[in-house]
Amino acid sequence: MSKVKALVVHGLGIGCHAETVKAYQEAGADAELIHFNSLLEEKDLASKAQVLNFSGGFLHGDILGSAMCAVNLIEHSVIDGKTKLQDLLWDFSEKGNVVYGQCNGFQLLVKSGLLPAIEDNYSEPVLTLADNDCGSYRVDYVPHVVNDNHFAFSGLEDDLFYLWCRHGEGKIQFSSDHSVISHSNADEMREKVKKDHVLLSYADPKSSQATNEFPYNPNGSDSGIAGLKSSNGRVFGHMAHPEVSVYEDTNPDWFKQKEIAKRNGTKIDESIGLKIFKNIVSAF
Amino acid sequence: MNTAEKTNQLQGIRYSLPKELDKNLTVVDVGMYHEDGRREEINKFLNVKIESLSRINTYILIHSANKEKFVNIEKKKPFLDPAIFSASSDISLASILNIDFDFALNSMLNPGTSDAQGNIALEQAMVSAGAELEKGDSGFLATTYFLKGDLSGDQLDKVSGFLSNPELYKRQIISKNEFDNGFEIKAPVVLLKNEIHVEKIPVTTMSDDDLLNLNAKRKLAGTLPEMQHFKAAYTDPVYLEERKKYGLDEQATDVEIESWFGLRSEHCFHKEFNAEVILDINEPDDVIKRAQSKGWLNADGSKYSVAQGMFKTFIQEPAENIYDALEKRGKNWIASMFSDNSGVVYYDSEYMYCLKVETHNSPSNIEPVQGAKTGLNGNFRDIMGTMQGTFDILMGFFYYCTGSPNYKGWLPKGVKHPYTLLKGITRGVREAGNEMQIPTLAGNVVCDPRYIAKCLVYCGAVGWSAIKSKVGADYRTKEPQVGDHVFVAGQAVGIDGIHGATESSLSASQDISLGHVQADFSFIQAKVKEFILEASRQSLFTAVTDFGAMGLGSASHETARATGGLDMDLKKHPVKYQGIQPWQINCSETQDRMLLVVDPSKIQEVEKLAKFYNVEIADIGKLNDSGYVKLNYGDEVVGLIDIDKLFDKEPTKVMCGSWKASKEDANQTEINLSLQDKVNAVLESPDISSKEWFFRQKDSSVKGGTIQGPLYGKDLNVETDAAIQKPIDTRGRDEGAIAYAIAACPKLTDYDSYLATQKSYLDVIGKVLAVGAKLPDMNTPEWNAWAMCGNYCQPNSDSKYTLIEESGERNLAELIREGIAVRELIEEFNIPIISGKDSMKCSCVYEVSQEFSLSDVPADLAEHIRILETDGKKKIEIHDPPTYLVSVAAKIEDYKKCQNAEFKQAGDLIYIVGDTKKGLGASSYYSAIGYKLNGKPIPGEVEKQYSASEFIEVANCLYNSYQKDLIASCSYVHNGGALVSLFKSCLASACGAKLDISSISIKPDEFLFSESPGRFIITVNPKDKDVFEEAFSDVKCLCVGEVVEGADVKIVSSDSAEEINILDAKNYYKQTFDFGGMNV
Repeated sequence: MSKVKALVVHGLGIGCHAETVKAYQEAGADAELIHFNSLLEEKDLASKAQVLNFSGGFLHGDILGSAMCAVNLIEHSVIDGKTKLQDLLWDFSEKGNVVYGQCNGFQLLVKSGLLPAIEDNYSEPVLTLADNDCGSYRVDYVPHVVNDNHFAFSGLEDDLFYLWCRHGEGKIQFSSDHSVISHSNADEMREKVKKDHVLLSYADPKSSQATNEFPYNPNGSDSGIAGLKSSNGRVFGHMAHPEVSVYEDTNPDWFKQKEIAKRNGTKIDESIGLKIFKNIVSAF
Repeated sequence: MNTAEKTNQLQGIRYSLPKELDKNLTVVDVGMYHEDGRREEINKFLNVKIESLSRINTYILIHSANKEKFVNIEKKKPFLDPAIFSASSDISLASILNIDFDFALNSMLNPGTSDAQGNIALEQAMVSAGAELEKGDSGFLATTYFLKGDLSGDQLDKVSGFLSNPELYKRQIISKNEFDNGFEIKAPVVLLKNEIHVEKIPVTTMSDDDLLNLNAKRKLAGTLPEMQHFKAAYTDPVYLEERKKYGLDEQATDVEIESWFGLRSEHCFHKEFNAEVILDINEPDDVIKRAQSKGWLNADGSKYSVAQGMFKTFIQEPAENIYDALEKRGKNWIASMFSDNSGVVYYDSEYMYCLKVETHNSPSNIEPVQGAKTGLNGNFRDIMGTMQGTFDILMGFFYYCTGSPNYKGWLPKGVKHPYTLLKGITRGVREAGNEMQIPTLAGNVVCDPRYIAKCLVYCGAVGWSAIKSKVGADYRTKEPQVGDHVFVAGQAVGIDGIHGATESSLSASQDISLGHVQADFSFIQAKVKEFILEASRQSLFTAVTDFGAMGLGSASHETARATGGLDMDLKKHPVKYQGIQPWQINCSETQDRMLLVVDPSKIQEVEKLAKFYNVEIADIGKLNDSGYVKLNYGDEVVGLIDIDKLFDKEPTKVMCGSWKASKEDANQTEINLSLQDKVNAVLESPDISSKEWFFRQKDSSVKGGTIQGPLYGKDLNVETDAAIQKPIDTRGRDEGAIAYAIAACPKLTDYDSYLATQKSYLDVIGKVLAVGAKLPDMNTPEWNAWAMCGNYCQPNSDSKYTLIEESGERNLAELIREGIAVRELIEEFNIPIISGKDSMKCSCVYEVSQEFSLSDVPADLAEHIRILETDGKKKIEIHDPPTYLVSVAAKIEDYKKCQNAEFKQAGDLIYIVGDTKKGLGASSYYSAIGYKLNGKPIPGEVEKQYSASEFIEVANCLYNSYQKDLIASCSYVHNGGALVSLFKSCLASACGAKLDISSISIKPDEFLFSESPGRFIITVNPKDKDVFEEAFSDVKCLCVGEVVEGADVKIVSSDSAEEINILDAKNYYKQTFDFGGMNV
C-alpha cells in the first residue's frame, strides 16, 4: 500500500509548517509543503493528497482579525473558472479525506465556515474566535479532554492530556452585544455545536471536565470548547499545537520523566502529538 | 469632484481627501472592541476614573476604482466578523451603535510612516470588491477610542498619551458635541511636491565655522576634523576629474554628504571602539599591571595607552589566536567572525548556526513598541542577511534595562515612566517574535534608576543553515561579482526614519514624520524571509545583506566595497509616494527591506520567485570595479563617492581617560533580619524576580525543537537559566542540540566594571555548563562550538562631550577594564567573542530649571546625578551603568544526557560543588537589603574570588558526571546566591529541602548568598552517592542535605536553625513584575 500523503500549507506568515511536515513524516506519511498561493489555484487536490493541513502562524499578519485576510482570499478564489476553494475543500473532505487545522489554521477553518459546518452548511460562519479574555497572547501547556469519539484522538479518550497552546485569539464566541448574529440565534447554534461538533475541551485537571476556569481554559472559550469537527469528522481543528509534542523531549516534564524512567528501568510513553498524527495517518 | 462630495455625511467623524487628489474614498468602521482591561490599567496607573473605554477601527481606503464596487463592503469579509462585530461604511459606526462617551481620541500613524495595516486592508478590500489596485491608491488605519468619565484637561492629556504615543501617532481629541455635529479629519495622505532637487554644498570654500554650521544644520554628528577631512576630499584632482565626467563639480551634493556622514557615524563606524586610548593611572592595581605585563597596555609613567584600540586589542586579537589554534587542532568550529552580519560557527560538518545581538535604545526610549519591535525584527534581518541568505531563524531573546516599574518621583521632561516603557517594549518584542514565528527562549530585565534617562533594549537571535546545498553549492561564500545586479526587496521607501533631518521643502501644515522612529509590520518581513530562504537555497544570490541604520546607503555602499564600485539609480527604488528626494531614498530607514545581489543569468528566476511569494523587488543597480559609488536619479548623476575614501579610518580618534582605585572599606555590621525576610528581599529585586509575565506572552515552542524553554517546573512558573533547542533538521540524524544563555551585571560596575564583565562572561558559561555543555578542549578535534556575543552599552566615554570631564574619563577607563577582563577570559576558556556591537552614548544631559534640586529626586537616583551650572543654565547629566551583555549559543553533543534544575525526587542528595569564597561584596543580597556604603555597593573580597583553573576543573567533573548519568538536577549559582537557586528548584518541583551547613567555615549568610563564580547545586540519586563523590573528589564538593516533600527549606547552621516557606517567598518572587492580566 502506498503511503498516505499529507500536504501542509505554508507561506504568507504561516510559521509551523516545518514541524508539521516532520510530524506527518514521523507518523509514517509522505508530507510536502504547498504554498497558500498554489493552493488557491489547485484544481485537483484529491488526486494529490489525503490530508490537507493548515498549520499555525500569522497568515497575512492576522490583520483585520486572525486569518481574516486568508479567508477573504479563499472566499474570492476562483478555481477552474467556477468553484471557490471552500467548495473544493468541502468536496475533498466528503470523499473521506482530511482537512485539519491547528491554531491559525483552525481560525481559518472556523472563519471560513468550514467548521463547525452545522448540518453541513459551510457557507457562513456561525461562531468565531475572539480575543482571549486575559487580554493578550498567552503561552501555556493546557489540559485537554476528547469530547467524543474521533479517529484522530483515538486512544486518548480515557484521560486528560496536555498540549501547548499559544495564541491571542482563541476564544470560541457565538455572539456579542453588538454583533450581527443575535443572542437568540447564538443560543440555538451553541446547542447544535455542543451536541455534534465539539472535538476537544479545555479541562480542569482535577475533574477532567470541560472548564471555563482560567488558566485551564486559557482564553475564556464558550463552554470550554477547545476544538471543533464537522458532522462526519473529516474536517476538524483546534487551537492547540500537537505538532510540537511529537517528540517526548519537547514536553516540559521530559527531564523529570526521563530521570524517573531511568531509575525505574521503564520507558517514557509515546508523546501525545505523535499519537494524534499516527491516528490521522492510519485513518485511510 | 469637490471636497464636499468626498467626505462622509451625517454625524460622527468624517474623513476627507485633499482637493488636489483625484481619487475615491471609502471608509469602513469596524467594532466595537471593549477595552475594559486597558481601562482598569489606566485608572490604576494614572489614578483617574474612566467609566468606560471602547474602540472602533476605521479603514480609510483611497482608490481609483469606481466607488460603486464598494457598496456593501462592510457586510463582507475581510472586514466583518459577524459573531463579534458590526461594521459600517461611510457612516460612523459609533453613531449607529450609539456609544455613550464624553471624549473620543482619534489616532493615526503620522503621515509618511509606513501604514502596512491600512495598505493590506486596502488590498483585501480590492479583492472583496473585485476591483484592481492602481498607482497612488493607499490605505490607512485610524483608531478611535471612546472614553466616558470625568477627566480634567491634564488627565485627558495623560490618558491620550498612554493610549497613543504622539511620537508615532497623530492624535485628535474630539468632544461629544464636536462628534455630534460632525468632525472632519483629513486622511493622512502625503502629497509632496513632485520636484526633485539636489542641493549642492560648496564645501571647498567653507571656513571652519561654515563647516560647523553645516554640521549642525544637517545634524551630521561630525567633529571639526571630520568635517575638514570631508572637505579635503573635494580638492583631490583625480576625484575632481572623475566628477567632471558626470557633470559634477567641486561642490558636494546632499546625497554625498548624507551618505558620508551617515556611514561614518559612530553608529556605523565604531570610531570610539577603534580609537587609541590613553589612560592616566597613578596607582595601577593588579588588573592594570597584568594587562601591562602582557603588552595590552603600554606604560609611560602614569600614562597607559591602548594603541590599537579596544576592539582590536581585547576582542579581535584573542579571537584570531583561538581561530589559529583551532585550525591547527582540527574541526575548527569558527566559520565567520566580525566580518558578516552575524558571527557564524559550525554545528558539525554539514550545518552551521549564527548569533547576533543588537541594541535599539534611542528609538525604544521615544516609542517603546515600535522601537523594540524594529530592534528584534532588525536583528532577525541580520540573520537573514548573513552569508548568502540561507539562514533560517531558530530563536530570539531579549534583555531590557529600565527604571523600576514601581518608580515614583521626579522624571526628566519628556521621559516616559519605566512602567510605560516596559509594557511598550514587551509588546514590541512580543509582536516581532510571535508574528515572525520565532520562539523566544531567553530574556531578563534589570532595573536601575539611571536607566530612567535612557533605557536599554537588547534583542538577539540565532540562525541555522546547511553549509552546502543538496547539489553541493557552498552557502558560505559572500562574493558579489562585477556585473551582478543589486536588488532591493520588501517595503517601498518612505521618508520615515531619516535621522533628525529637517525637510524644508514640505509645507508646515504637513507634519511629516521625521526623526528616527519607524513603524514596522512583521508580515512584510515574514514574506521577504520566505522568499529569500527559498531563493538563497537555490543559490540565486551571490550575497544578501540587510537594511539597518542608514538604510540603502549603508547596505549598498558596503556591498560595493566587495567589487570596488557600484552604479545605482535611486529612482528605481519603489517609493510610497512621489516627491522623496534622492538623498532621502538613500538614507531612509524604512523597515522590512533586504538587499540582494544577483548574477545576471539568475535575474529571471529571482523575479519569478519574488512574484510568487508576493514580495516587491526592484533592480536598482549594478556592481563594477570603478572605485566609485555612482548614484543616479534617472539620467542625472546625483552623487559620486570614492569608496576607499568613504571607508578609510582617517582621522583616527584619540581618547583620554583616567582611573583611580576605590579604597573604601566597610565594617560589616550585623543584619538583624530573619532568613525568610532576607530571601524575600533578594527574590523581590528586579533582576532576580520572576519574569513569567514576560515569557507568557512570547511563543517558546514554535519550530518544534524546544527541549527546555524559558520557563520550567510543574506550573511553568520558574525561569530557566539556560534554554536548549534541537534544530528540526537534525531530528533522527544526531543527538546534538544548542544551549542558550545570557548575562549582564550592570550593578557590579559600581564597584568595578572589570569584575562585572568577568561575572557576566562566567555566568553565561556556568549556565550552559549546568545543563550539560562542554568547555572547549584545545587538544581533541570535535564539533563543540561556542558562539559567544558581547554587546557593550557604555555611558559617554568621551570626556570632551561629558558635562563633567571626570565622568567621561572614568567611563573610558571602565571600558578598558572591561576589555582586559574579556581578553583574560577568552584566553583562559578558549571561547572567543565572535560578534557584538557597541553603543557608546548611553548617557543623557537635560537642562533643568534653576529651582531644580537633588532633594526632589529619589535618593538612589540623586546619588548618580551630576549638576553643572554654566552661562546661567543648569544642566544635569545621568550616565547609565556600563552594561555588557554576554550571550552564548553552545553546541551540546548529546542532549539526551542533559538535565534541568528541577528536583526530581524526595530523598535525592543535594550537593554544592565548587568553592564558596568568603565575602559578599557587591552581592545582590547586600543590594536587596539596601546595605550600602556611601551610596555604593559594599566592597568585599570580590576580586579574590575567582580562579580559572578551579572553575575549569569543576566544569570538567560536571561534564564527566553528566556522561555517566549521575546528575538528577543541576543549576549554576549566580545572582542571589545558592539560596535563590535552591528556592527556584524547590518551587519548580513543589518540593522542599533540608540542609545542614554546620560544617562550613564561613558565615551562613556568606554561604547562602555568595555569588562567587564556579559553583553548581547538583542533586543526585542516593544510590549514586559514592560514584558521584568519587567523580568530584578533586574539587570542593559538599553534600549539604536532601530534597524533601513539602514546601519548606530547613537550614541548620552552626549557630541557628531556620526555615523558609517557599510559598511565602514565591509571593515576593512574583510580585515585582506582576502587571495583572496580560493586557499590554
